[in-house]
Amino acid sequence: MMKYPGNQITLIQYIFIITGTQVGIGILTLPRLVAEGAGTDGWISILLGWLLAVTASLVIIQVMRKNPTDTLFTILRKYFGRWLGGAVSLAWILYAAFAVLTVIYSFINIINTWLLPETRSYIIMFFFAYPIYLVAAHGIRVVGRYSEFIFFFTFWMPVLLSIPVREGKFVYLLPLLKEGIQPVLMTAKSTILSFLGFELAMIWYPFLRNKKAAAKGIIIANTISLVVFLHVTLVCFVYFSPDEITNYIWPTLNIVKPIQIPFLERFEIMFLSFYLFVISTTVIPYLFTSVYGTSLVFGLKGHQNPLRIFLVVLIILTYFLSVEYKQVEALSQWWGNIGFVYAYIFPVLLLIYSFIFSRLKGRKKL
Amino acid sequence: MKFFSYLKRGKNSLRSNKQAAQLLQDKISKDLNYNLTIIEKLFTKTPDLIIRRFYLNQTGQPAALVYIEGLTDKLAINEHILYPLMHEDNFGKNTGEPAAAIGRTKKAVLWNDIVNYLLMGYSVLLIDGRESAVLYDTQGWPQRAIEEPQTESTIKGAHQGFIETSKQNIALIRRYIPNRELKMKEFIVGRRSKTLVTMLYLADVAHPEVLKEMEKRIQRLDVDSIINTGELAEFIEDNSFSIFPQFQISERPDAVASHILQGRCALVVDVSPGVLVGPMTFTSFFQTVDDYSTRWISASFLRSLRFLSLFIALFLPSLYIAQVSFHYELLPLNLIMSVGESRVKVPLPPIVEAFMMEIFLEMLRESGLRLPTPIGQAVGIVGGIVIGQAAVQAGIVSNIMVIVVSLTAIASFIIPSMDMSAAIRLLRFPIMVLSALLGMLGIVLGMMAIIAHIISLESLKTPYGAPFAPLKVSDFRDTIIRFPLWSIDKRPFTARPVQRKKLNWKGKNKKSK
Amino acid sequence: MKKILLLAVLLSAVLCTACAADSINLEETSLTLSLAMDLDEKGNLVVYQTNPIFSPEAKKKKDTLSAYNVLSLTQGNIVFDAVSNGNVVNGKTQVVLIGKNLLKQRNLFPLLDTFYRDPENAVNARLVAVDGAVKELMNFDPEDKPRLAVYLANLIDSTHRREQTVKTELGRYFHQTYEKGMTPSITEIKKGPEEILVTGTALLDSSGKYAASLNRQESSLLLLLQQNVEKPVPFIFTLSANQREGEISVNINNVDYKIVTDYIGNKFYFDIQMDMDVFLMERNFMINTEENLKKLNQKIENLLKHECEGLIAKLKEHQVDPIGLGIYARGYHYQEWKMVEDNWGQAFSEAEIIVSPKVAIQSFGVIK
Repeated sequence: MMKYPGNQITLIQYIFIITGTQVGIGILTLPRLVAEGAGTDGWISILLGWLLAVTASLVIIQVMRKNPTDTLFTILRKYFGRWLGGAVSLAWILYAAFAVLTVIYSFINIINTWLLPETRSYIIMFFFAYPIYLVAAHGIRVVGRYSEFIFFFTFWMPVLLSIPVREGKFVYLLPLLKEGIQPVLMTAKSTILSFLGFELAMIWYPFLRNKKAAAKGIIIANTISLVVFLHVTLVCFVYFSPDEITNYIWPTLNIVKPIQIPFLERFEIMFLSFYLFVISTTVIPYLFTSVYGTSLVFGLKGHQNPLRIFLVVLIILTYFLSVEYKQVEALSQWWGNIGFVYAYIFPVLLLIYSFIFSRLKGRKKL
Repeated sequence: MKFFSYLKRGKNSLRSNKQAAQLLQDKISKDLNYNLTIIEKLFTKTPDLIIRRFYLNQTGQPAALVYIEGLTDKLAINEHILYPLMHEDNFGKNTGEPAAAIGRTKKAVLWNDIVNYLLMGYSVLLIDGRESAVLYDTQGWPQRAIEEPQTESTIKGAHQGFIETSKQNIALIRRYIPNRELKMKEFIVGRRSKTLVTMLYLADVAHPEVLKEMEKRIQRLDVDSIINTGELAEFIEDNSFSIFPQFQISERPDAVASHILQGRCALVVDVSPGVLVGPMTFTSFFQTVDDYSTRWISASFLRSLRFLSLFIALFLPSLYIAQVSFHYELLPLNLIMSVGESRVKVPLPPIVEAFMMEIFLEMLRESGLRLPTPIGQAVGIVGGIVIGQAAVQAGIVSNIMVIVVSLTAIASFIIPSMDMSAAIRLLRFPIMVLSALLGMLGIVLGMMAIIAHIISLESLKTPYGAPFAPLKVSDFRDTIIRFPLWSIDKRPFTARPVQRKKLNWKGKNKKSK
Repeated sequence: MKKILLLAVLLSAVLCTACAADSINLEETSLTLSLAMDLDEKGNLVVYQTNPIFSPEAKKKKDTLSAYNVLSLTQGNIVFDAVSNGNVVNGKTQVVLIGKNLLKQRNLFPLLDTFYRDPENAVNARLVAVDGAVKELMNFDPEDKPRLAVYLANLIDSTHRREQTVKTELGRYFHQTYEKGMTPSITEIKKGPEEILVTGTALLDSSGKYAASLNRQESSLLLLLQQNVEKPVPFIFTLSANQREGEISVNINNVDYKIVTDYIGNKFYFDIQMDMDVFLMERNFMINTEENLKKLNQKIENLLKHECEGLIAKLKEHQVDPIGLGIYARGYHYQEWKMVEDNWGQAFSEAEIIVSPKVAIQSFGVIK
């Protein structure tokens, strides 16, 4: 039971790690994405996406419940043996690394577009590497605490977003299902990227102190993310006209920009800078998964060394490889597609396999 | 070699330290004269060592009283030891011991003990024909009177402060906690200084893991000397590369007592007026004892003020830099105009301007600190008014910068803990650099690094970032806002007490049970 | 450990040579506070711009003004850069003035593209139409007034606070332009002989060109119909022409709206129901207000309805819908809306629009 002594996370931390991972780069573009697909009915697609995410999450919890003290990587080894399991683990490590890369490149792209057009991306990466190293190096406990803190620390951001609602018109949301149910269903697919993050529950589960609440926790986490997504999307839909919103690449930023209070203007500068915190709670769990997996698969002593190497590689990569908006878009689309396989299909397959596996094992014992 | 040793230690000295060390392991002999020569050999060139030979009145045995002048209470020695022994029949009726009128006496056989106790201010009675010495507690060295600590003055709290003698300090603490469960554990730290370190805790409240950890760290210590509590803190803290203090060092007995009552443990270091308390959290450095003696609403306001000043002290100069050199859009037009008008005369880039003024301010603070009060004030006036005003008129710094710097200074002085205040004052420099490089994003990156660091830091294996991370909702009753005392019915989680409940409030009890 | 530390320090030193690439000190910028566009006599685009003077050495004026013939705003910025003593930035622009001539001849929206494309630029600048010569207005530098941009901004804000004109920031203009069920409306000002005054509202049609102007009272009505009322709206009604019943001033406040929509016989039908509180401010004829409350209520109701419908008739005539009734058409009659969405102005002019105000005098002050 005490396989990870002193390295356990509470239910709240577990919830906020997952929420933090889910709420990330997506919310800046989500209103446009769903509006492009389903117009002002896009928010219904988000609900559908949530339903899908919750289902997949519950499948994940089912799998994990069978192996309460194992992370994904040890389960893979147990089920598939050293080589095949290692290969699948490696695929997961690469997936997590890809997610880190996508999120960081997306963020840097946004910063370069909105805030600091001349600043080279590796400089931002260099200064960003230090805090995320501090958090990730200390293991899951600190990752949990960090996500927990940042959730409350950035709580003002959605509140800030509600200010423009005053000027909005709720008529924009009418009529419901104007083009029928078809586009709404189609758009649900594009909300998948936004809900990605719950798949990392496969890593967090064994560290969770109160495992009975794991299913409840993951549903709460998904729901918090849903509330955030719905909030942002609805605010954008109410503030912007349906004809207008698809013109903005990052509508969430456009909505923040006109906000003024007597001593502060141009909230997008504040918003975008503090958005870095939101990004960090997405980056750190994936980063941790990636380096922690590496240390497990290759049997290293700690995950600090892979972490250092990864971060240095990231800085070097951002030095040599700068990415434009179109490429960033492609990256996140790939991530969405790959993520669909990893987060939605993989757990189902694993669940089926685990049934077969336990049956086989049971027979052997007899 | 020999010559130098002679020069240094005197004629009669033992040849080498090794020899002395060997001797110290021996027992004393029956022969008084032999013993005294050994003492003389051990303590060459020690004029403050007094050897008083006399004959015991009752038996006529030759005896000697050895003590170090200055460390001992002359009156006690003369009247309660020498006088009875020399003029009265005073061997205990049943014990057969020379009965001086001293409360604390000990018996010693080994030279080592004798020497140690002698150096601690005990008097040693050697009697011819006896193989043991009697040690009398005659400690009495010059010490100052109890007064209010300068760095931690309060308005409504007690006006007592610790002094440099641990016995007195412990007594001061015990006055607040007259409880059997207040336990103490003594350690001798420092090979040479042999500093007495006493750990105080409430046995039924403090967490055994915390105590064990503290004990382990003290016992692991192998140093030459400990002069100050600050030194000790640096040796036993979790992360010595951290800029933040991980232990509170207080000179106030009421503060220490209240910490002990919460379940923390305290280290009283002899010779130092500072008492170390741990485990601490980041937020606990923003609380004072005064908070509990003022009305809770105003206390809460003051506490929020301190947290606000934390942000001002950390970020205001960097916000100024970011605003002036990156995000001119941030402020409303009228403000920008006045900033622009005051900036235009200044030939230096904002970062240089800010660094200059901030460093100047630190110099001013440091120079005023060690000067006698009247001169210190003069320095303040010269620095603050004359140089500030003149610099603006000369066009070296802008008006706004002067305002920013003074605001930062005031804000940093609000933070009650000196160590924390110093940490925060220092931290604003890297953030200023970051903001000069990346603007607002740089500030946020700096903020993130600080948060990440605080969250990953631990004090005695207790999370430093609590009650924020990990979140402990019950602790929020006494963090930024101080709730009425009756509602703070639990000891803070951050002290890791075993016994959480600390009061029963009738009004509350009805509700729960 | 030491080596790593050294490496890190070296690395950061190398990195920092490329740092602070985006920094530009405030005093090195040339903040564009007001921007104006107009056509000159030959029909070429002229861009005017004022920048504040920070330097204490230049004591003469509050602003510098420059004007150039250019093709676009971006080109204007480049030219301004070449003449000003700082880098021209548009992040704090307060007002964007557009000459009426320009509005009549060209679509305004594409001209403002850079404001939306470059995220550094302000979207809170007030968009203003200028009746008359822009040049004259930009040269206006009265001694008892603050610098032009601040003056204009305050002027527009205070007039808007009195609900006498719309206040359309660039961001809202983008919104009004892209919204198919609505046409843009912007503040209109005029340079008088001694002062600048807000004359009301300029209405643009769906192609972004000038369509009509509203005076201040009509602008108030428009704001009322737009549901864009925050403060009490003052109205002056002439009850009748004879001497016994003259003018009456009221403040309209706390308006509750209900917009009933329908689609009958190939045209839209709107009933704008407004339930409002009225505060009597002034009456310049003798009448016991307390006794004649009901009568007054009725009269104000009728007058308001009459004036609103007059305004709507004017809007219909120009085929513009600054009220945004198209949004309701889309919300409640989507299929029918789909057919007319690209030609809403015409559909609007054919629609049947009824305004039914319901007035209740809440207070007549401290005297009867």
